[in-house]
Amino acid sequence: MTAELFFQQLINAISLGSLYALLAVGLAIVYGVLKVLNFAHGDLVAVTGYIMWLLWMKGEIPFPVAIVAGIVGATGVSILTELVAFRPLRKATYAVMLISSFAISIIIQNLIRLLIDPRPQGMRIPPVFDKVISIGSFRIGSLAIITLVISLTAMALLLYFLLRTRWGMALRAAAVDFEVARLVGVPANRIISLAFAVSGLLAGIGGALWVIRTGGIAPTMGLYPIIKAFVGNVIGGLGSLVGAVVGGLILGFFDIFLKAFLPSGARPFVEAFTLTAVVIILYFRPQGIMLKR
Amino acid sequence: MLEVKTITAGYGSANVLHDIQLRVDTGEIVALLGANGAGKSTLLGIISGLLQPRHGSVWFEEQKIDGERPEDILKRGIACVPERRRIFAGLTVQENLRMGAYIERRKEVIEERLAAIYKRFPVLLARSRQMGETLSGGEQQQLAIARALMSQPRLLLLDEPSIGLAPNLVQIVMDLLRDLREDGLTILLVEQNIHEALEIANRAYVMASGKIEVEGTASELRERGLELEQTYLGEI
Repeated sequence: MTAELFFQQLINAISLGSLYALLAVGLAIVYGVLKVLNFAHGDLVAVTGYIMWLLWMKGEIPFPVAIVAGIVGATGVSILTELVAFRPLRKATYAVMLISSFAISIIIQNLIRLLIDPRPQGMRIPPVFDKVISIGSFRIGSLAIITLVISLTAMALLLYFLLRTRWGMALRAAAVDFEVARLVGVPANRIISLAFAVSGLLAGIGGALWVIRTGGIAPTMGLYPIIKAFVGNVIGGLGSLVGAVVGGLILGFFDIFLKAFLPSGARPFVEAFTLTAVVIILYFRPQGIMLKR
Repeated sequence: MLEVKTITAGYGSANVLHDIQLRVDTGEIVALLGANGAGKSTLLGIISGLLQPRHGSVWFEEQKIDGERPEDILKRGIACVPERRRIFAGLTVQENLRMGAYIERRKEVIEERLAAIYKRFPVLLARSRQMGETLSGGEQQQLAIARALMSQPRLLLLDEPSIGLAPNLVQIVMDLLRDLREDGLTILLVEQNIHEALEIANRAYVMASGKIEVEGTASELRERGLELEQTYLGEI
């Protein structure tokens, strides 16, 4: 392997990994306050994709506007999900809320099938995302760079929000001990809505990047990214935001490097290799990489 | 100042509290004593708004407060130091303190309170940038009390502040509570550590199996110390 090839794949890996990390962190923020995995999180990716598709492909509205609308839409649907599926069940057990999140996932997918179209659709992606940037003999796709910049910027802003603002601090406190957070005056409903808003925003940003990457939409398109986000949380350590980021990045590395360096006959089994690696990680650190036992 | 009237409460089909009557007057330390499972923490949960009673009511400064949300009860001037300290892990000491003043939005007021807290608890100033969970047990207890004080309450509820602390540290906590009373704070102190609590309290209640069994001034109860311990506080 040449050093150039390695470096190109390294950027691709960080790029895809940071996209997984965005989705994983969103899942982790909601897990923090509710201690439940929101399986409808992946469908926010679909919500973003379909809003973008309707506006851009059907409505001829400029692509950047469609992206922003998609992200806003995902944020709104996320907040709504909490109101409809989780708030009435606040005193219910973990399992009940989990099932409720599956229900929301199924509802979103079927609404898309009924109201828009059950078949996958292609999305025309503006050429700016499809350029090859060459520096000497070094070549890298513009999408990898754009994904990397946007994901890292989003995470830097998230970090600022969590570490430097009053609401961010309250969100961290509520994730550690929800009851004591209430005792010091953090309003339960508002902080949970906030968690879903931030989570939805991240899913929207990640979703837009995902749609651009895959170039198409389908009602069940959220399944693959949600599984990546979920696995990212598990390897990083469920409940740890840093862990979610680390887990997402690791998955990106596995995906890219296995695809690049496995013999071509083995490439259809990249997922199997990735999950085997996950099993090995969890064998040695069952609590996840970033959590203490 | 605080009046708990005929409170009955429970989880599921079982009642944990039966017809509880309790009063705390301005400026006193009232001890609520009882063994594990007597229902003391449940009562604190009701007063601070985390739990709802089945019957009865809670009155603070002549106003009915049961059924209000925890943040509204805190705004009225009741703060709670939870059992086992429950410091926010992953937040620094200073952030833990800032969380205590969450309901206060004016920055300069928060800074003033922080300065006052650091003056009273120099060890917290020395550790202000450390993560809360890295503090020792005694320091964490001070932090938990300081966090509650950051909302500038008029009534402080404490749930077993001496638990898990070495005797000399228990003494520090009790001296602190005495100082706070001198500064005008009213305190409801839930304790299993009957001797230490009666040493600083003005009055006390003894709870067993969800009922108030004995009440009286601290000096009366101190004289009956051994009897109370054997009857109501024995470890099962």
